[in-house]
Amino acid sequence: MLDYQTSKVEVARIEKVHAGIVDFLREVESDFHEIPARTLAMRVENNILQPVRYALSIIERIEEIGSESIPDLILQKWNLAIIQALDFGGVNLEC
Amino acid sequence: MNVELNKRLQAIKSKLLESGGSFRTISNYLRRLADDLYLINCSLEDDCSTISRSVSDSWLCQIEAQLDHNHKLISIVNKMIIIAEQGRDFDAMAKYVDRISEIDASILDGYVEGVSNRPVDGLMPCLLPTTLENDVMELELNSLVSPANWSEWNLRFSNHITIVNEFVRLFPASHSFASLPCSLSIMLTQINREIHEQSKLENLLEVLTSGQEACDYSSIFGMDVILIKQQLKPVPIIGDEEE
Repeated sequence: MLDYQTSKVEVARIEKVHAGIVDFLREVESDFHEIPARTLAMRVENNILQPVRYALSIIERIEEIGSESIPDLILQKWNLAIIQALDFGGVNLEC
Repeated sequence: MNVELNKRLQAIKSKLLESGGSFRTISNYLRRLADDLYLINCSLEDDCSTISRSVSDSWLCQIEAQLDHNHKLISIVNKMIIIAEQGRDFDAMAKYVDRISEIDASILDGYVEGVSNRPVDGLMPCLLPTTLENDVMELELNSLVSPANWSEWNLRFSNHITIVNEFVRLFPASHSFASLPCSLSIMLTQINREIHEQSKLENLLEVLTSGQEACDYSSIFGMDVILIKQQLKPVPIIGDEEE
């Protein structure tokens, strides 16, 4: 059983970190770095931010409706999306 | 002696008539249950509701057989009452005595203490509680209206489970069809789990596609909405039965 409150705090932190990274990359103004920076920003947005934001929306819906009112099939899928966001969304891109 | 005999026969007749009424109540209830199971089976198309239809039919057949026994026994008791009243020769009653004495013993065993008695065909093992009769009547009245959504079906089947569980308590393990209400109760519980899941799918779909600007999640949860629609079965409606 996932702790949705703790997960929400962690997923929100991950979202904030990566949203900051994306904003930073989009603001890069350099003839040499501009295109790679925007490509990287797009990849972070698609591969990390979108799943993380989806996980955040899921947690908000679960808190709103209550996990006991969500069908087992959907709850399993949503739990997996939250776990994936927690596991892979927190990757430090600078490493 | 004939006065005492007549009194006893009248008491037996009264219990048999009471049993007949109880069997008819169960029979009517099982017909309502069969209707609901048919509708659910058409919608869910699962093995559990298919088997439960078969079990409910078996139980209904057994109840009809009990009613048949009950009518025969009432007829015998009526004949014995006439013979006793007319003060005719007791030898004429001999061939009926064995059958009736079994009933009499069973009544004296069980009904006095308010517990299930020794099972005898045609006689209810114990009195049908008034609350149960009222529950059955209420369910029969509710059956006139088809549930509008899965949540209402969930409620309908919860009532069925409550009633069947009450019937389970009425028939002792030694009774010829005691296992049928038990099996039915287990299967209804399983069916209700599936109905509950359908009800959750229905509610979640409503939340995710409510369409209000402030909370329109259909774009974020587009794939989930498709998945929910795939899993959601059509709500059974009474009109389907006639097709």
